[in-house]
Amino acid sequence: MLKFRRRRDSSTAPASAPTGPAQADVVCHCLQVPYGDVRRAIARGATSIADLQRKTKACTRCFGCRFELEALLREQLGDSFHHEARVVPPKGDDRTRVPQPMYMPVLAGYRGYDVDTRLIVFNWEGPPQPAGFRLDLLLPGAERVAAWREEAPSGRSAVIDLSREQVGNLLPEGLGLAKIVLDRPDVGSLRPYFHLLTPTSVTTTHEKKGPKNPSRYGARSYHWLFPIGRSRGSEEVYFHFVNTQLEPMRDQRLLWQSVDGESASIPLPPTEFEQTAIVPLHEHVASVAAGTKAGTVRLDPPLFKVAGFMLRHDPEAQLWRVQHL
Amino acid sequence: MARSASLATSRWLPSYAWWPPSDEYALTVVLSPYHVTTEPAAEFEATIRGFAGAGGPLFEHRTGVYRFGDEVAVELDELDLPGPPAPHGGVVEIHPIRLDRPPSRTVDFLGQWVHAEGRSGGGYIIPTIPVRGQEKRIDRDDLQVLPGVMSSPDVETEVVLLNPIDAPVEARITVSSPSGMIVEGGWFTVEPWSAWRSPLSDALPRVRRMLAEDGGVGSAAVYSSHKVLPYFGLRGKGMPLSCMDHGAPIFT
Repeated sequence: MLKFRRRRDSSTAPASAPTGPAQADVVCHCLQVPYGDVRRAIARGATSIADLQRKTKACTRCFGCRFELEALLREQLGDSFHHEARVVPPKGDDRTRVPQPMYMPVLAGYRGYDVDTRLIVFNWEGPPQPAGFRLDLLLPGAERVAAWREEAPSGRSAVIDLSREQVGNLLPEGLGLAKIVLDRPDVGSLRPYFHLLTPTSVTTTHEKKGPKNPSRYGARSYHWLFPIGRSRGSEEVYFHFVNTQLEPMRDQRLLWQSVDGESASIPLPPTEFEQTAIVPLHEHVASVAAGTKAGTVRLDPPLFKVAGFMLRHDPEAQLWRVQHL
Repeated sequence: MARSASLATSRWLPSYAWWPPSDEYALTVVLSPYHVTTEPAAEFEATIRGFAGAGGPLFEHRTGVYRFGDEVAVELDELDLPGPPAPHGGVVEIHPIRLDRPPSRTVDFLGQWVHAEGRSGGGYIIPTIPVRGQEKRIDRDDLQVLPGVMSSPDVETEVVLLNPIDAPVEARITVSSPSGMIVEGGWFTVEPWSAWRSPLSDALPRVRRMLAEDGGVGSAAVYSSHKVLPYFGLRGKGMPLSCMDHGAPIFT
Protein backbone atom coordinates (compact mmCIF):
# COMPACT_ATOMS: atom_id res chain seq x y z
CA MET A 1 0.00 0.00 0.00
CA LEU A 2 1.27 3.45 -0.91
CA LYS A 3 2.61 5.52 1.91
CA PHE A 4 2.11 9.23 1.58
CA ARG A 5 5.18 10.83 3.00
CA ARG A 6 5.03 13.56 5.60
CA ARG A 7 7.31 16.57 5.77
CA ARG A 8 10.55 15.80 7.52
CA ASP A 9 12.67 17.99 9.69
CA SER A 10 15.26 18.65 7.02
CA SER A 11 14.29 21.55 4.77
CA THR A 12 15.58 19.58 1.79
CA ALA A 13 13.56 16.43 2.40
CA PRO A 14 10.44 15.79 0.31
CA ALA A 15 7.43 17.69 1.60
CA SER A 16 3.78 16.78 1.57
CA ALA A 17 0.82 19.09 1.18
CA PRO A 18 -2.11 17.37 2.83
CA THR A 19 -4.95 19.20 1.11
CA GLY A 20 -8.28 17.80 -0.11
CA PRO A 21 -8.83 14.15 0.73
CA ALA A 22 -6.26 12.86 3.19
CA GLN A 23 -3.37 12.05 0.85
CA ALA A 24 -2.66 8.71 2.51
CA ASP A 25 -6.20 7.71 1.49
CA VAL A 26 -5.71 8.61 -2.17
CA VAL A 27 -4.72 5.98 -4.69
CA CYS A 28 -4.86 8.06 -7.90
CA HIS A 29 -3.02 11.30 -7.16
CA CYS A 30 -3.76 12.81 -10.56
CA LEU A 31 -7.54 12.70 -10.13
CA GLN A 32 -7.61 12.40 -6.33
CA VAL A 33 -9.48 9.09 -6.30
CA PRO A 34 -9.62 7.62 -2.77
CA TYR A 35 -8.88 3.99 -2.00
CA GLY A 36 -12.43 3.72 -0.71
CA ASP A 37 -13.93 4.47 -4.14
CA VAL A 38 -11.84 1.73 -5.71
CA ARG A 39 -12.71 -0.80 -3.01
CA ARG A 40 -16.42 -0.04 -3.42
CA ALA A 41 -16.14 -0.41 -7.22
CA ILE A 42 -14.54 -3.84 -6.80
CA ALA A 43 -17.23 -4.87 -4.31
CA ARG A 44 -19.82 -3.85 -6.92
CA GLY A 45 -18.37 -6.01 -9.65
CA ALA A 46 -15.22 -4.41 -11.10
CA THR A 47 -12.77 -7.18 -11.96
CA SER A 48 -10.08 -5.41 -13.99
CA ILE A 49 -8.15 -2.16 -14.23
CA ALA A 50 -10.29 -1.24 -17.22
CA ASP A 51 -13.42 -1.62 -15.06
CA LEU A 52 -11.86 0.59 -12.40
CA GLN A 53 -10.88 3.19 -14.98
CA ARG A 54 -14.47 3.41 -16.21
CA LYS A 55 -16.12 3.33 -12.79
CA THR A 56 -13.74 5.57 -10.80
CA LYS A 57 -11.58 7.42 -13.40
CA ALA A 58 -8.52 6.21 -11.50
CA CYS A 59 -5.50 5.38 -13.67
CA THR A 60 -6.63 7.43 -16.65
CA ARG A 61 -4.07 10.24 -16.61
CA CYS A 62 -0.48 9.26 -15.82
CA PHE A 63 -1.25 5.54 -15.25
CA GLY A 64 1.06 5.64 -12.24
CA CYS A 65 -1.38 3.89 -9.86
CA ARG A 66 -1.71 0.78 -12.00
CA PHE A 67 0.12 -1.50 -9.58
CA GLU A 68 -1.77 -0.12 -6.60
CA LEU A 69 -5.06 -0.87 -8.35
CA GLU A 70 -3.80 -4.36 -9.13
CA ALA A 71 -2.93 -4.86 -5.48
CA LEU A 72 -6.47 -3.85 -4.49
CA LEU A 73 -7.99 -6.18 -7.07
CA ARG A 74 -5.79 -9.03 -5.92
CA GLU A 75 -6.60 -8.28 -2.29
CA GLN A 76 -10.35 -8.54 -2.89
CA LEU A 77 -10.57 -11.03 -5.76
CA GLY A 78 -7.66 -13.35 -5.04
CA ASP A 79 -6.72 -15.69 -7.86
CA SER A 80 -9.59 -14.60 -10.06
CA PHE A 81 -7.67 -11.42 -10.87
CA HIS A 82 -5.22 -11.71 -13.74
CA HIS A 83 -2.42 -9.25 -14.36
CA GLU A 84 -2.49 -7.63 -17.82
CA ALA A 85 0.82 -6.43 -19.18
CA ARG A 86 -0.69 -3.59 -21.16
CA VAL A 87 -2.79 -0.90 -19.55
CA VAL A 88 -5.33 0.33 -22.10
CA PRO A 89 -6.75 3.82 -21.72
CA PRO A 90 -10.56 3.83 -21.63
CA LYS A 91 -12.22 4.05 -25.05
CA GLY A 92 -12.45 7.64 -26.16
CA ASP A 93 -9.74 8.64 -23.72
CA ASP A 94 -6.74 7.19 -25.50
CA ARG A 95 -4.57 10.25 -25.16
CA THR A 96 -3.08 11.24 -21.84
CA ARG A 97 -3.88 14.79 -20.79
CA VAL A 98 -1.28 15.03 -18.13
CA PRO A 99 1.91 17.05 -18.82
CA GLN A 100 4.62 14.68 -19.97
CA PRO A 101 5.98 12.91 -16.89
CA MET A 102 9.70 13.27 -16.29
CA TYR A 103 11.93 10.44 -15.10
CA MET A 104 15.24 10.26 -13.27
CA PRO A 105 17.16 7.37 -11.71
CA VAL A 106 17.43 7.27 -7.92
CA LEU A 107 20.52 5.65 -6.45
CA ALA A 108 20.51 5.36 -2.66
CA GLY A 109 23.20 2.90 -1.68
CA TYR A 110 22.88 0.93 -4.93
CA ARG A 111 25.09 -2.20 -4.84
CA GLY A 112 26.42 -1.05 -1.51
CA TYR A 113 28.04 2.03 -3.02
CA ASP A 114 28.23 5.26 -1.05
CA VAL A 115 25.89 7.14 -3.37
CA ASP A 116 22.73 9.20 -2.85
CA THR A 117 20.43 11.24 -5.07
CA ARG A 118 19.11 14.80 -4.99
CA LEU A 119 16.58 16.46 -7.32
CA ILE A 120 16.44 20.13 -8.20
CA VAL A 121 13.45 21.78 -9.88
CA PHE A 122 14.06 25.41 -10.87
CA ASN A 123 11.10 27.69 -11.57
CA TRP A 124 13.33 30.34 -13.18
CA GLU A 125 11.21 33.49 -13.46
CA GLY A 126 8.17 32.23 -15.24
CA PRO A 127 4.65 32.48 -13.84
CA PRO A 128 4.44 34.54 -10.64
CA GLN A 129 2.65 31.74 -8.81
CA PRO A 130 4.54 28.70 -7.52
CA ALA A 131 4.85 25.76 -9.90
CA GLY A 132 3.33 22.72 -8.25
CA PHE A 133 4.22 19.16 -9.04
CA ARG A 134 3.93 15.64 -7.72
CA LEU A 135 6.96 13.49 -7.13
CA ASP A 136 6.47 9.72 -7.20
CA LEU A 137 9.11 7.25 -6.08
CA LEU A 138 8.85 3.94 -7.93
CA LEU A 139 10.55 0.62 -7.40
CA PRO A 140 12.16 -1.03 -10.46
CA GLY A 141 8.96 -3.07 -10.86
CA ALA A 142 7.01 0.24 -11.09
CA GLU A 143 5.27 -0.12 -7.74
CA ARG A 144 4.86 3.38 -6.31
CA VAL A 145 6.19 3.43 -2.77
CA ALA A 146 5.81 7.15 -2.05
CA ALA A 147 4.29 10.30 -3.45
CA TRP A 148 4.90 13.89 -2.41
CA ARG A 149 3.30 17.20 -3.22
CA GLU A 150 5.97 19.81 -3.92
CA GLU A 151 6.20 23.29 -5.35
CA ALA A 152 8.91 25.56 -6.69
CA PRO A 153 8.22 29.24 -5.94
CA SER A 154 8.75 31.65 -8.82
CA GLY A 155 12.43 32.40 -9.28
CA ARG A 156 13.48 29.70 -6.84
CA SER A 157 14.37 26.04 -6.70
CA ALA A 158 12.83 23.07 -4.96
CA VAL A 159 15.68 20.89 -3.73
CA ILE A 160 14.60 17.38 -2.80
CA ASP A 161 16.79 14.96 -0.90
CA LEU A 162 16.38 11.32 -1.93
CA SER A 163 19.26 9.99 0.13
CA ARG A 164 19.55 6.70 1.99
CA GLU A 165 18.55 8.56 5.13
CA GLN A 166 15.33 9.80 3.54
CA VAL A 167 14.24 6.94 1.28
CA GLY A 168 16.60 4.04 1.97
CA ASN A 169 13.88 2.10 3.78
CA LEU A 170 11.68 2.36 0.68
CA LEU A 171 14.27 1.12 -1.81
CA PRO A 172 15.48 -2.35 -0.75
CA GLU A 173 17.91 -2.60 -3.68
CA GLY A 174 19.09 0.99 -3.31
CA LEU A 175 17.63 1.67 -6.75
CA GLY A 176 14.46 3.52 -7.70
CA LEU A 177 12.90 5.86 -10.19
CA ALA A 178 11.76 9.43 -9.58
CA LYS A 179 8.76 10.51 -11.62
CA ILE A 180 7.69 14.14 -11.68
CA VAL A 181 4.25 15.14 -12.89
CA LEU A 182 3.65 18.87 -13.19
CA ASP A 183 0.30 20.27 -12.12
CA ARG A 184 -0.03 22.28 -15.32
CA PRO A 185 1.59 22.03 -18.74
CA ASP A 186 2.11 25.80 -19.14
CA VAL A 187 5.09 26.32 -16.88
CA GLY A 188 7.61 26.26 -19.70
CA SER A 189 11.03 24.85 -19.00
CA LEU A 190 10.56 23.57 -15.50
CA ARG A 191 13.22 21.00 -16.19
CA PRO A 192 14.41 18.95 -13.23
CA TYR A 193 18.06 18.02 -12.87
CA PHE A 194 19.45 15.44 -10.51
CA HIS A 195 22.68 14.98 -8.59
CA LEU A 196 24.33 11.71 -7.64
CA LEU A 197 26.35 12.43 -4.52
CA THR A 198 29.36 10.45 -3.35
CA PRO A 199 32.00 11.44 -0.79
CA THR A 200 34.17 12.75 -3.63
CA SER A 201 31.85 13.93 -6.39
CA VAL A 202 28.49 15.31 -7.44
CA THR A 203 27.07 14.66 -10.92
CA THR A 204 24.60 16.86 -12.76
CA THR A 205 22.18 15.59 -15.41
CA HIS A 206 18.69 16.54 -16.50
CA GLU A 207 15.63 14.29 -16.56
CA LYS A 208 14.15 12.53 -19.54
CA LYS A 209 10.53 13.13 -20.44
CA GLY A 210 8.03 10.45 -21.29
CA PRO A 211 6.29 10.67 -24.68
CA LYS A 212 3.39 13.04 -25.27
CA ASN A 213 1.20 10.04 -25.96
CA PRO A 214 2.33 6.91 -24.11
CA SER A 215 -0.20 4.76 -25.97
CA ARG A 216 1.38 5.40 -29.36
CA TYR A 217 3.89 2.79 -30.38
CA GLY A 218 5.81 2.22 -33.57
CA ALA A 219 9.07 2.29 -35.47
CA ARG A 220 11.54 5.07 -34.77
CA SER A 221 13.62 6.76 -37.46
CA TYR A 222 16.82 6.44 -35.46
CA HIS A 223 18.32 4.39 -32.66
CA TRP A 224 18.68 5.51 -29.10
CA LEU A 225 22.37 5.13 -28.41
CA PHE A 226 25.22 6.02 -26.14
CA PRO A 227 28.79 6.69 -27.16
CA ILE A 228 31.63 4.79 -25.59
CA GLY A 229 35.00 6.49 -25.79
CA ARG A 230 38.19 4.85 -24.64
CA SER A 231 38.86 5.44 -20.95
CA ARG A 232 41.97 5.69 -18.84
CA GLY A 233 41.24 2.49 -16.98
CA SER A 234 38.57 -0.02 -16.18
CA GLU A 235 35.14 1.31 -15.24
CA GLU A 236 31.70 0.02 -14.54
CA VAL A 237 29.19 1.04 -17.21
CA TYR A 238 25.48 0.75 -16.50
CA PHE A 239 22.58 1.33 -18.88
CA HIS A 240 19.55 2.46 -16.86
CA PHE A 241 16.21 2.74 -18.62
CA VAL A 242 12.50 2.96 -17.95
CA ASN A 243 9.83 1.91 -20.42
CA THR A 244 7.79 5.10 -20.95
CA GLN A 245 5.05 3.72 -23.18
CA LEU A 246 2.07 1.59 -22.35
CA GLU A 247 3.20 -1.14 -24.73
CA PRO A 248 5.20 -3.84 -22.90
CA MET A 249 8.76 -3.90 -24.13
CA ARG A 250 9.79 -7.34 -25.36
CA ASP A 251 12.60 -8.79 -27.49
CA GLN A 252 14.73 -5.68 -27.15
CA ARG A 253 18.50 -5.81 -27.00
CA LEU A 254 21.52 -3.60 -26.60
CA LEU A 255 23.99 -3.83 -29.46
CA TRP A 256 27.58 -2.91 -28.80
CA GLN A 257 29.63 -2.04 -31.88
CA SER A 258 33.19 -0.76 -31.74
CA VAL A 259 34.85 1.28 -34.45
CA ASP A 260 36.92 -1.77 -35.41
CA GLY A 261 33.87 -3.99 -35.84
CA GLU A 262 33.72 -5.82 -32.52
CA SER A 263 30.09 -6.44 -31.63
CA ALA A 264 27.99 -7.97 -28.91
CA SER A 265 24.28 -8.40 -28.34
CA ILE A 266 22.87 -8.08 -24.84
CA PRO A 267 19.22 -9.04 -24.37
CA LEU A 268 17.23 -6.60 -22.25
CA PRO A 269 14.79 -7.85 -19.65
CA PRO A 270 11.14 -7.41 -20.61
CA THR A 271 9.60 -4.33 -19.05
CA GLU A 272 6.10 -2.99 -18.76
CA PHE A 273 5.08 0.66 -18.49
CA GLU A 274 7.31 2.54 -16.03
CA GLN A 275 9.30 -0.52 -15.08
CA THR A 276 13.02 0.08 -14.79
CA ALA A 277 15.99 -2.10 -15.61
CA ILE A 278 19.68 -1.50 -15.15
CA VAL A 279 22.12 -3.45 -17.29
CA PRO A 280 25.79 -3.70 -16.26
CA LEU A 281 27.41 -3.47 -19.69
CA HIS A 282 30.85 -4.04 -18.24
CA GLU A 283 29.78 -7.53 -17.20
CA HIS A 284 28.88 -8.39 -20.80
CA VAL A 285 31.59 -6.70 -22.90
CA ALA A 286 35.19 -7.00 -21.75
CA SER A 287 36.49 -4.16 -23.92
CA VAL A 288 33.87 -1.77 -22.51
CA ALA A 289 34.87 -2.71 -18.98
CA ALA A 290 38.54 -2.23 -19.79
CA GLY A 291 37.94 1.01 -21.68
CA THR A 292 40.10 -0.17 -24.55
CA LYS A 293 37.74 0.44 -27.48
CA ALA A 294 35.51 3.25 -28.70
CA GLY A 295 32.12 2.65 -30.24
CA THR A 296 28.46 2.85 -29.33
CA VAL A 297 25.74 0.82 -27.70
CA ARG A 298 22.32 1.16 -29.25
CA LEU A 299 18.81 -0.05 -28.54
CA ASP A 300 17.62 -2.47 -31.19
CA PRO A 301 15.16 -2.77 -32.85
CA PRO A 302 14.34 0.97 -32.84
CA LEU A 303 10.74 0.61 -31.69
CA PHE A 304 10.32 1.57 -28.09
CA LYS A 305 10.36 4.85 -26.23
CA VAL A 306 12.48 4.76 -23.13
CA ALA A 307 13.96 7.28 -20.73
CA GLY A 308 17.54 6.11 -20.64
CA PHE A 309 20.71 7.05 -18.85
CA MET A 310 24.27 5.82 -19.08
CA LEU A 311 26.05 5.65 -15.74
CA ARG A 312 29.80 5.21 -15.73
CA HIS A 313 31.43 4.54 -12.40
CA ASP A 314 35.00 4.51 -11.21
CA PRO A 315 34.63 2.54 -7.96
CA GLU A 316 38.12 3.34 -6.72
CA ALA A 317 37.72 7.13 -6.94
CA GLN A 318 33.94 6.97 -6.32
CA LEU A 319 33.39 9.09 -9.41
CA TRP A 320 30.20 8.72 -11.42
CA ARG A 321 29.54 10.10 -14.87
CA VAL A 322 25.91 10.21 -15.92
CA GLN A 323 24.51 10.99 -19.32
CA HIS A 324 20.93 11.06 -20.57
CA LEU A 325 19.97 9.50 -23.90
CA MET B 1 24.52 34.86 -37.72
CA ALA B 2 25.45 31.18 -37.71
CA ARG B 3 28.67 30.40 -39.48
CA SER B 4 28.28 31.17 -43.16
CA ALA B 5 30.84 28.65 -44.41
CA SER B 6 28.91 25.80 -42.88
CA LEU B 7 25.63 26.99 -44.33
CA ALA B 8 27.22 27.38 -47.74
CA THR B 9 28.43 23.81 -47.57
CA SER B 10 25.13 22.18 -46.81
CA ARG B 11 21.67 22.59 -45.37
CA TRP B 12 22.81 20.05 -42.80
CA LEU B 13 23.94 22.37 -40.05
CA PRO B 14 26.83 21.81 -37.67
CA SER B 15 26.58 21.28 -33.94
CA TYR B 16 29.01 22.19 -31.22
CA ALA B 17 30.77 21.07 -28.08
CA TRP B 18 33.36 22.45 -25.71
CA TRP B 19 36.94 21.95 -26.86
CA PRO B 20 38.57 21.62 -23.45
CA PRO B 21 42.25 22.28 -22.78
CA SER B 22 44.09 19.23 -24.02
CA ASP B 23 46.20 18.88 -20.89
CA GLU B 24 42.97 18.35 -18.90
CA TYR B 25 40.87 16.13 -21.16
CA ALA B 26 41.25 13.66 -24.01
CA LEU B 27 38.38 14.39 -26.37
CA THR B 28 36.78 11.77 -28.61
CA VAL B 29 34.13 12.72 -31.14
CA VAL B 30 31.80 9.77 -31.71
CA LEU B 31 30.04 9.81 -35.09
CA SER B 32 27.32 7.20 -35.36
CA PRO B 33 24.92 6.93 -38.32
CA TYR B 34 22.63 4.89 -36.08
CA HIS B 35 22.01 8.00 -34.03
CA VAL B 36 20.42 9.84 -36.96
CA THR B 37 18.83 7.29 -39.27
CA THR B 38 17.77 3.70 -39.87
CA GLU B 39 18.13 3.92 -43.67
CA PRO B 40 20.74 1.41 -44.96
CA ALA B 41 21.62 3.62 -47.98
CA ALA B 42 22.67 6.57 -45.84
CA GLU B 43 26.17 7.98 -46.47
CA PHE B 44 27.94 10.65 -44.49
CA GLU B 45 31.06 12.75 -44.34
CA ALA B 46 32.03 14.84 -41.34
CA THR B 47 34.31 17.79 -40.78
CA ILE B 48 35.56 18.62 -37.30
CA ARG B 49 36.92 22.10 -36.69
CA GLY B 50 38.46 23.67 -33.61
CA PHE B 51 38.02 27.37 -32.88
CA ALA B 52 39.44 29.65 -30.21
CA GLY B 53 38.70 33.10 -31.53
CA ALA B 54 37.49 34.82 -34.66
CA GLY B 55 40.55 34.16 -36.78
CA GLY B 56 39.28 30.95 -38.36
CA PRO B 57 39.66 27.35 -37.28
CA LEU B 58 42.85 26.24 -35.55
CA PHE B 59 42.37 22.83 -37.09
CA GLU B 60 40.10 21.11 -39.54
CA HIS B 61 39.77 17.35 -39.86
CA ARG B 62 37.70 15.52 -42.46
CA THR B 63 36.64 11.95 -41.80
CA GLY B 64 36.10 10.74 -45.33
CA VAL B 65 32.90 8.95 -46.31
CA TYR B 66 31.29 6.60 -43.83
CA ARG B 67 28.09 4.67 -44.22
CA PHE B 68 25.19 3.30 -42.24
CA GLY B 69 26.62 0.35 -40.37
CA ASP B 70 29.94 2.07 -39.63
CA GLU B 71 30.93 3.54 -36.31
CA VAL B 72 33.50 6.34 -36.31
CA ALA B 73 35.38 7.77 -33.34
CA VAL B 74 37.83 10.63 -33.85
CA GLU B 75 40.29 10.94 -30.98
CA LEU B 76 41.81 14.41 -31.10
CA ASP B 77 44.93 13.08 -29.37
CA GLU B 78 45.60 11.00 -32.48
CA LEU B 79 45.53 14.01 -34.82
CA ASP B 80 48.61 15.83 -33.46
CA LEU B 81 46.68 19.08 -33.15
CA PRO B 82 47.45 22.39 -31.51
CA GLY B 83 45.51 22.60 -28.25
CA PRO B 84 43.07 25.37 -27.43
CA PRO B 85 44.27 28.07 -25.04
CA ALA B 86 44.02 27.32 -21.31
CA PRO B 87 42.05 27.76 -19.16
CA HIS B 88 39.00 28.52 -21.29
CA GLY B 89 39.52 26.07 -24.12
CA GLY B 90 37.64 26.61 -27.35
CA VAL B 91 34.74 25.50 -29.49
CA VAL B 92 34.74 22.29 -31.48
CA GLU B 93 32.41 22.31 -34.47
CA ILE B 94 31.16 18.90 -35.55
CA HIS B 95 29.63 18.99 -38.99
CA PRO B 96 28.38 15.69 -40.35
CA ILE B 97 26.75 15.98 -43.76
CA ARG B 98 24.49 13.35 -45.18
CA LEU B 99 25.60 12.73 -48.74
CA ASP B 100 22.68 10.68 -50.05
CA ARG B 101 20.00 13.30 -49.54
CA PRO B 102 19.33 16.80 -48.20
CA PRO B 103 17.32 17.44 -45.04
CA SER B 104 13.58 16.92 -45.33
CA ARG B 105 13.14 20.26 -43.57
CA THR B 106 14.63 23.58 -44.63
CA VAL B 107 17.62 22.93 -42.41
CA ASP B 108 18.45 20.15 -40.01
CA PHE B 109 21.38 18.89 -38.01
CA LEU B 110 22.86 15.48 -37.31
CA GLY B 111 23.62 15.52 -33.61
CA GLN B 112 26.54 13.46 -32.37
CA TRP B 113 28.48 13.00 -29.14
CA VAL B 114 31.74 13.83 -27.45
CA HIS B 115 33.40 11.77 -24.75
CA ALA B 116 35.91 13.76 -22.69
CA GLU B 117 38.17 11.61 -20.57
CA GLY B 118 39.84 13.50 -17.73
CA ARG B 119 43.62 13.16 -17.70
CA SER B 120 43.38 12.97 -13.89
CA GLY B 121 40.19 10.92 -13.80
CA GLY B 122 36.56 11.83 -14.32
CA GLY B 123 35.35 13.59 -17.42
CA TYR B 124 32.04 13.89 -19.20
CA ILE B 125 29.98 12.53 -22.09
CA ILE B 126 27.58 14.88 -23.83
CA PRO B 127 25.63 15.27 -27.07
CA THR B 128 26.62 18.01 -29.47
CA ILE B 129 24.21 20.96 -29.72
CA PRO B 130 23.29 23.18 -32.69
CA VAL B 131 22.50 26.87 -32.55
CA ARG B 132 19.96 26.51 -35.37
CA GLY B 133 17.90 23.74 -36.88
CA GLN B 134 16.22 22.25 -33.81
CA GLU B 135 12.61 21.12 -34.02
CA LYS B 136 11.84 22.18 -30.47
CA ARG B 137 10.50 25.71 -30.27
CA ILE B 138 12.38 28.08 -28.03
CA ASP B 139 10.37 30.71 -26.19
CA ARG B 140 13.31 33.07 -25.75
CA ASP B 141 16.94 32.89 -26.79
CA ASP B 142 18.29 35.40 -24.28
CA LEU B 143 17.88 33.15 -21.22
CA GLN B 144 18.88 29.62 -20.32
CA VAL B 145 18.95 28.02 -16.89
CA LEU B 146 21.34 25.85 -14.92
CA PRO B 147 19.26 24.08 -12.26
CA GLY B 148 21.23 22.69 -9.34
CA VAL B 149 24.45 24.68 -9.34
CA MET B 150 26.59 24.38 -6.22
CA SER B 151 29.12 26.58 -4.47
CA SER B 152 30.48 25.54 -1.11
CA PRO B 153 33.85 24.83 0.48
CA ASP B 154 33.49 21.21 -0.72
CA VAL B 155 31.88 21.48 -4.14
CA GLU B 156 32.14 24.13 -6.85
CA THR B 157 30.32 24.57 -10.15
CA GLU B 158 32.30 24.94 -13.32
CA VAL B 159 30.44 26.98 -15.94
CA VAL B 160 31.34 26.90 -19.63
CA LEU B 161 29.69 29.17 -22.21
CA LEU B 162 30.29 28.64 -25.91
CA ASN B 163 29.82 31.36 -28.49
CA PRO B 164 29.80 29.74 -31.94
CA ILE B 165 28.92 32.85 -33.97
CA ASP B 166 30.91 35.60 -35.66
CA ALA B 167 30.01 38.34 -33.17
CA PRO B 168 30.80 38.91 -29.51
CA VAL B 169 28.00 38.00 -27.11
CA GLU B 170 27.33 39.80 -23.83
CA ALA B 171 26.41 37.44 -21.00
CA ARG B 172 25.40 37.69 -17.36
CA ILE B 173 24.88 35.02 -14.72
CA THR B 174 22.50 35.26 -11.78
CA VAL B 175 22.03 32.67 -9.04
CA SER B 176 19.04 32.24 -6.78
CA SER B 177 18.94 30.25 -3.58
CA PRO B 178 16.07 27.94 -2.61
CA SER B 179 15.24 30.34 0.19
CA GLY B 180 14.78 33.21 -2.25
CA MET B 181 17.95 35.28 -2.26
CA ILE B 182 19.62 36.34 -5.49
CA VAL B 183 23.16 37.26 -6.54
CA GLU B 184 23.43 39.06 -9.86
CA GLY B 185 26.69 39.16 -11.78
CA GLY B 186 27.80 41.86 -14.17
CA TRP B 187 27.80 41.65 -17.94
CA PHE B 188 30.86 40.17 -19.58
CA THR B 189 31.84 39.37 -23.14
CA VAL B 190 32.22 35.97 -24.73
CA GLU B 191 34.33 36.61 -27.81
CA PRO B 192 33.36 35.23 -31.24
CA TRP B 193 34.07 31.52 -31.71
CA SER B 194 35.32 31.25 -28.17
CA ALA B 195 34.66 29.49 -24.90
CA TRP B 196 34.28 31.23 -21.55
CA ARG B 197 34.93 29.13 -18.48
CA SER B 198 34.90 29.96 -14.78
CA PRO B 199 34.22 28.51 -11.36
CA LEU B 200 30.87 29.95 -10.32
CA SER B 201 32.27 31.61 -7.21
CA ASP B 202 34.92 33.42 -9.27
CA ALA B 203 32.24 34.87 -11.51
CA LEU B 204 29.95 35.66 -8.56
CA PRO B 205 32.12 36.17 -5.45
CA ARG B 206 29.17 36.37 -3.02
CA VAL B 207 27.46 33.22 -4.22
CA ARG B 208 29.09 30.84 -1.76
CA ARG B 209 27.97 32.92 1.21
CA MET B 210 24.45 33.23 -0.20
CA LEU B 211 24.06 29.49 -0.72
CA ALA B 212 25.59 28.52 2.62
CA GLU B 213 22.23 28.30 4.36
CA ASP B 214 20.86 26.05 1.62
CA GLY B 215 23.54 23.40 1.62
CA GLY B 216 25.45 25.15 -1.13
CA VAL B 217 22.75 24.36 -3.72
CA GLY B 218 20.86 26.81 -5.92
CA SER B 219 20.10 27.45 -9.57
CA ALA B 220 21.56 29.84 -12.11
CA ALA B 221 20.18 31.79 -15.04
CA VAL B 222 22.40 32.75 -17.97
CA TYR B 223 21.25 35.88 -19.79
CA SER B 224 22.89 36.69 -23.11
CA SER B 225 22.57 39.13 -25.97
CA HIS B 226 22.50 36.22 -28.44
CA LYS B 227 22.06 32.56 -27.75
CA VAL B 228 25.12 30.96 -26.21
CA LEU B 229 25.58 27.28 -25.41
CA PRO B 230 25.92 26.88 -21.63
CA TYR B 231 27.33 23.83 -19.87
CA PHE B 232 27.97 23.14 -16.22
CA GLY B 233 29.53 20.49 -14.06
CA LEU B 234 30.36 20.05 -10.40
CA ARG B 235 33.80 19.48 -8.95
CA GLY B 236 34.54 18.10 -5.49
CA LYS B 237 37.38 19.76 -3.64
CA GLY B 238 40.65 18.48 -5.05
CA MET B 239 38.79 16.12 -7.38
CA PRO B 240 38.28 16.14 -11.13
CA LEU B 241 35.04 17.18 -12.71
CA SER B 242 33.08 13.97 -13.01
CA CYS B 243 30.07 14.93 -15.08
CA MET B 244 28.85 17.83 -17.20
CA ASP B 245 25.48 18.64 -18.73
CA HIS B 246 24.10 21.39 -20.92
CA GLY B 247 21.88 24.14 -19.58
CA ALA B 248 18.14 24.12 -20.19
CA PRO B 249 16.66 26.41 -22.85
CA ILE B 250 13.31 28.05 -22.22
CA PHE B 251 11.05 26.01 -24.42
CA THR B 252 7.52 27.13 -25.31
